[in-house]
Amino acid sequence: MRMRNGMVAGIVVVAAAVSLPALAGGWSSYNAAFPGFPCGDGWTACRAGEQVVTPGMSRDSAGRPVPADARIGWFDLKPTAVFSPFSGLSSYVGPVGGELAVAAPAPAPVAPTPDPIERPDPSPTPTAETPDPIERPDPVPVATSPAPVAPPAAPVAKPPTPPPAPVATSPTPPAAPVAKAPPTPAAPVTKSPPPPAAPVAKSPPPVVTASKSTPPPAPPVAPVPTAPVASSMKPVAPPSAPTTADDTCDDLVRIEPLAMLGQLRTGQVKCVEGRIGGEGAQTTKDKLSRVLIANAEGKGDKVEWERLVKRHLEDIDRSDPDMCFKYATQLSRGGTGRASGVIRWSDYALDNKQRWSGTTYTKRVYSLYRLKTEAANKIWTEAEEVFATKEHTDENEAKAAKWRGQTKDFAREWLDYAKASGQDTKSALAICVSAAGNRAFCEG
Amino acid sequence: MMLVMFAGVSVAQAKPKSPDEGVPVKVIVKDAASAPVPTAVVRHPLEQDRHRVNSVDGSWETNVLYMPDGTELRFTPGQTIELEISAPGYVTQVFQYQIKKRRNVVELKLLKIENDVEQIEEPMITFGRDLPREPVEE
Repeated sequence: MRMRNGMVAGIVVVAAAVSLPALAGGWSSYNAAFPGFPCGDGWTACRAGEQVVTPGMSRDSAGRPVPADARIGWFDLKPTAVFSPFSGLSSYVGPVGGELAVAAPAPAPVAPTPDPIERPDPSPTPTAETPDPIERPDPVPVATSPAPVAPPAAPVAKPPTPPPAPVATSPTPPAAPVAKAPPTPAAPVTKSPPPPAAPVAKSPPPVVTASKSTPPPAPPVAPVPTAPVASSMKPVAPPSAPTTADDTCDDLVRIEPLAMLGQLRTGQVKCVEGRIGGEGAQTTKDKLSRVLIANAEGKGDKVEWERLVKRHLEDIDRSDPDMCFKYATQLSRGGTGRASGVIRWSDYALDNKQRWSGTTYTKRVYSLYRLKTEAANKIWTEAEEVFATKEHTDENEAKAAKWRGQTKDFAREWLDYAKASGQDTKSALAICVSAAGNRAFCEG
Repeated sequence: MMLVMFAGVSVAQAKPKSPDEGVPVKVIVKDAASAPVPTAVVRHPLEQDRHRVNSVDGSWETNVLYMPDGTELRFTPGQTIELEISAPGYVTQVFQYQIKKRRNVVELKLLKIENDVEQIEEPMITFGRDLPREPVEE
């Protein structure tokens, strides 16, 4: 008995020893929750609309935490602040000067001490590759901790005058403990500090580089000793909201994210409307109208959405099967009075169905046949009820007969396509037999 | 005198129907809530016409059907007939019925056509984008 208890205790201890380390998660388990570069343009922090996006957890529309780089909410599938992958660099609108980090007066050129390795200035000059540079709080303090690259035993004296090129640019480890630049330093984009007194090669901190479009290493133009700057850094106030609303609409790509969230200001909507009225090119009208449609959809304003889509389809362009399909679906939720519209716009969508492919094609074509059939069935049912119970006239009988024929034809089309594409035929067959009054017509 | 009159009446009542007339069959069409379906129609599979039911009580009654080839189908006891009942918005029903000598009343219930539970997946309307022209090969 004592041996059995001992065995049981031993098994428990072994099982615990095996399972506990497996269950415990490390910090790497949360990498997905705290992305290093959550912004659509590859930055660590940015402003998306009215929100500031950082690697910390963001909130969805209901206030639930989601990773900052999630483009749509996990729970509600609604677009988040970083939804659009096309957003450009936002402009810094905070005060310039005064609150910004100020570099201390540059020290006189002295022989560098080997202890802290000085790095190239992360922000020498604005580059031409970034047309809209963001002026951000200088994140240099991240790099203030001395990197133990150069051993203190063999200090190398730097020349007092700035050389035209960095001292060492080779990505391979140098033989001598000379400070070197990293293999791919990208062009920094923030403000330029005063010219340095003792330029030496330094390695930039990775956080502030515009990494996505600057592959070749840019030579450090105006390096600054980092250590003294870091010691005199002041915290920079976060960018404040713009004091005056920008209601221009020249750059549609810039306002598209706001439109998707239904957050276009009234002035912006009026600006876009004005451009639609005065624009001559249909393609430009098409783009402008789509921005307004997206804005109405983002706001959840179905009435306005319907008005805008109807105007788009009637006056601007009806060759987009997606829009025709969506409009027909919206009309199908209404009563019999909108059923003829469902048939009309379903037909237009079917005219351009070749723009779809694969499963999208089969599902949408099936849905369009279904919409047409159900709309015709709705009209036929109402016509039969009017004829049978209200006005027993020849005209109403003819109308009922006409829509019965339409329903029969549409249902037969739907049924044939459903059979051909291997989709559900139950509803199509039921309506077909109901309209034909003859099962043989539909099953033949 | 009275006896003669009563005898005459009783003889008239006892007179059997002619077998050529056919036995009347009545079909009453109702929905799931037992309300008459005013838009229902009844049809024999070999017939071309559709017979509307009475819009008030949903009934239809006849003792003979006229086929497309000119023949008449008179209902006789023991005969089995097949009829299709349909109405817009309802699932069509086909039923067979063996005719009795009398009281041939058939009540049928039509079920509504159920829409698919699956909702239509709507596409997303995209923004307008200019596409670069394809290079022309010389």
